[in-house]
Amino acid sequence: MANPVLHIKDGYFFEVPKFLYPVSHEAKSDFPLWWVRLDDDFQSLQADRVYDKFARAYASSGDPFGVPAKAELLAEYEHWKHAGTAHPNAGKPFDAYLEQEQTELVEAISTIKWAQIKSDAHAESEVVGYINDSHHKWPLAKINEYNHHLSGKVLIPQPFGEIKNLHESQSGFCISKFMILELLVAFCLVATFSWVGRRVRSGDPPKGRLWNFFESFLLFIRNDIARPVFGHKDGDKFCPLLWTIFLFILGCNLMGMVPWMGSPTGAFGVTLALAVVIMMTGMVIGSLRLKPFFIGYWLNLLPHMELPTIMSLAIKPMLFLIEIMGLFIKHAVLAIRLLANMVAGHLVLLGLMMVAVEFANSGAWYVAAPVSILASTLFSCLELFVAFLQAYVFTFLAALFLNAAFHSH
Amino acid sequence: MSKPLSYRLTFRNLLSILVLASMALPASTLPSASAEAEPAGDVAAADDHGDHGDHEADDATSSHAGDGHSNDNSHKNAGPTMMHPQEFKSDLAVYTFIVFILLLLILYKFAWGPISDGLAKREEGIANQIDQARQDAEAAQESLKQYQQQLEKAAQEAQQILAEARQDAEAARDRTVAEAREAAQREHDRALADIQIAKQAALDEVATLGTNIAVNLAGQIVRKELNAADHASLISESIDQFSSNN
Repeated sequence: MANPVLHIKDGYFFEVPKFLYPVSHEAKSDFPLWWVRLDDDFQSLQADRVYDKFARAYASSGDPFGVPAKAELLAEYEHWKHAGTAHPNAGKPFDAYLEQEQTELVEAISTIKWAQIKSDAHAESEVVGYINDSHHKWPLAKINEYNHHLSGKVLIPQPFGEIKNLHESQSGFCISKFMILELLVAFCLVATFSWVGRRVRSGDPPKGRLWNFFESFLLFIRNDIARPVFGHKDGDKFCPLLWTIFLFILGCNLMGMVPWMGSPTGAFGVTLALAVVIMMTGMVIGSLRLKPFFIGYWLNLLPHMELPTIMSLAIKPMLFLIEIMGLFIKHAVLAIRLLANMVAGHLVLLGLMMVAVEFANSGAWYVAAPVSILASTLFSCLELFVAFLQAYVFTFLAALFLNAAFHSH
Repeated sequence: MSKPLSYRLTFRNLLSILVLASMALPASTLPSASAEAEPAGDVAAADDHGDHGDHEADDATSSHAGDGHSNDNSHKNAGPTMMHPQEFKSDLAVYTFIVFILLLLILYKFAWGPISDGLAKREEGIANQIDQARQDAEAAQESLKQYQQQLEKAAQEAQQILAEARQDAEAARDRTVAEAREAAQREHDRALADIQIAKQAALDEVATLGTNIAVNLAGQIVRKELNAADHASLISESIDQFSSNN
């Protein structure tokens, strides 16, 4: 089975039950290019061509031993592709095999020639040519199996890039599931809170469930995080940033609880970007507020110490380095904490559900499935709590870090 | 009444959480969810795990159908970090950074600005209202004090009026009683005078009668007929004597 981690990671598709999104392609021309690229039949042909070109280039390089025989090398390549229990090389093209396993051969020809061979092999025209080639018809059984695997996978259109497989990009800018979900969260936040804003603007007391509900979030952040940490005046100034951070993370966390979606906060890129926002905000505000301008922030990293000059010459640079490292580490940990919590929660949920899948073919399924469903339900409740808790923790720590950035200590 | 309602609400909330949670199950683990729902029909949903099962072995025609990594191209040609949950994707990071900053700016314009203003306005309003209420309370306290003073004064006045009234009443009563007593005395005196007059009259009559009788008796005794003039002088002599004796 594919690694279960792939189910919680970002991808270039939305996964729904197969019956909701059946795929019934009839010929290889109906399949996406990247899928054809990974087809075994195509890769064999590709290997064949690459071998020919490579052998020609190799012959001109003047090596006396020559390239191994075609059949031998291609057979070895096929074997390599399917080696190992986890099949780490599955679907890898022949050039990757040569680079990885036949390094000496590749190094014998010039890098320019090798790059040329590679780009030729992966040119779009190669795939298009193969698709239009009527000699290589895909058998119906294969197409059916492909349809089965593609069913339930709603592929995201990629106008700005090309994907390598459903989880990795090949080139350009590829739109991933988490990117769409982030936009969705952002859109929901703008819609909801501009609505709240229109009501609060008048200064009237809150009326109605929704207004009270959303406002209670904002007041909680202001009264229990911003004001206690920054003080009354600064606290209100930092509220917009903390509100956005909290609600964006909360929205992303909760997306993981929505069927067929996922948690963008379960991707390192997302959490690190948010931590970077906090760090940069701290740097900018610290540089502006602490005197002397700009340098004050960095000098502030050093704790104040009464040391003899000689000792301070030795110790202060070291401490400064440590503090700089600490600055980056604490923000990285901020990102990792959120990531780890979201990933861990989803992994446990995944494990609980795998209990039912493991017994799918046996009689024990009737016991395992209810247990699995019940356990997953209960754990989902916990996850719901964790979604709120981690959003709070991130916001609270962000507030502490920001406060430390522009207050001398 | 309120207790069963709150129980019912709690139960309903619990139920909705359960329903939501069960809907959320497939969020990140779809194949397993579909396998749960349809154990017999969709075993192969668990990716290519069931390669050795009947379903896929029949379909698979490629030379390596049974090796566990069959015709699912969706995760082939994997990079070295594809299976790592901590994989860092720079495009996603840059995208997130931009989306977050834009979100912050848009929300600042359309939500946080108005909300901050509104909250400040509300706070100010509440503070004003509290001030106003404090002033009102002070004013009310002041008026209360005044009213209380007035009330006390009024009570005093009432007391005074009552006392005066009581005094007046007492005086009136005394006067009435005195008058009554005087009238009674007068009546008494008059009665006494009447009695005196009556007594005098009676005594006079008794004297006259007695004298007549005595004269008659004396005449009889002396056999001497007195003439009328003698008779009258004798009577008046006797009466005078009687009156002087009394």
